[in-house]
Amino acid sequence: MQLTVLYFGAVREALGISTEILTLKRNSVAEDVRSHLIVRLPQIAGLLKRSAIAVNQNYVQPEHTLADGDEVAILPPVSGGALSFV
Amino acid sequence: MQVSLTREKIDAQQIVDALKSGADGAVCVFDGIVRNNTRGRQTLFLDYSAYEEMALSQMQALAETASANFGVRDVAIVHRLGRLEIGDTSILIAVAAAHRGATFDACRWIIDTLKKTVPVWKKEHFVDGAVWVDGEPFPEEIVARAEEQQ
Repeated sequence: MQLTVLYFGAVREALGISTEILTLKRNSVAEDVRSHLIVRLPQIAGLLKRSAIAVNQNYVQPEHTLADGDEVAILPPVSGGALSFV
Repeated sequence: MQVSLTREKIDAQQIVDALKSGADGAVCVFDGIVRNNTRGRQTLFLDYSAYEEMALSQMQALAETASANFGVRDVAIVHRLGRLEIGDTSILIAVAAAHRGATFDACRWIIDTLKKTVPVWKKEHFVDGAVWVDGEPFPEEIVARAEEQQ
């Protein structure tokens, strides 16, 4: 099964790419994408574990079953709006 | 409802003027701006990026939820992306309603929720280096809520 995976922020910078096609076995779940990345990039394992996963632009739980052609996004903790430190 | 992402300067007055209507008694505006330091470390500029399609749908959902839950008449949410200098507006939220109480409450709820859930990131550039600003942990309910919708 083929997935389009999107990377953002510090994860994108660590990987050096913004998107790629990833091939996983059938019936893989969202968490499998994270596990795959942790093996590839152990130096940012902590950030990957704190990241959320979106499938087709909706937040999903780690056990969400993926389908061929899904757009999977790895979302580091977000920091929009204004600076929050006081 | 005006919900948008822009790479141009945000014109607060234009957004507020477009939002107002005769039935409104109040417009509450939150204007988030780029500060010149973080914990005393001098900031040069910020670089904002987003998962744009999802950020827009999440912002639209925030505007709709705020309207429904706080009973306000209309909401505008505009977030800027790209390089922002000190003093620039990064986000403008404007809420209009017949009475002021609901506008304050809705405006506060929108910015607090947006900062935890809308996929926007910023890299802060200092005189002596740059860091991706580490956001707050994702709320547990974000995952639960997304799952319920399916």
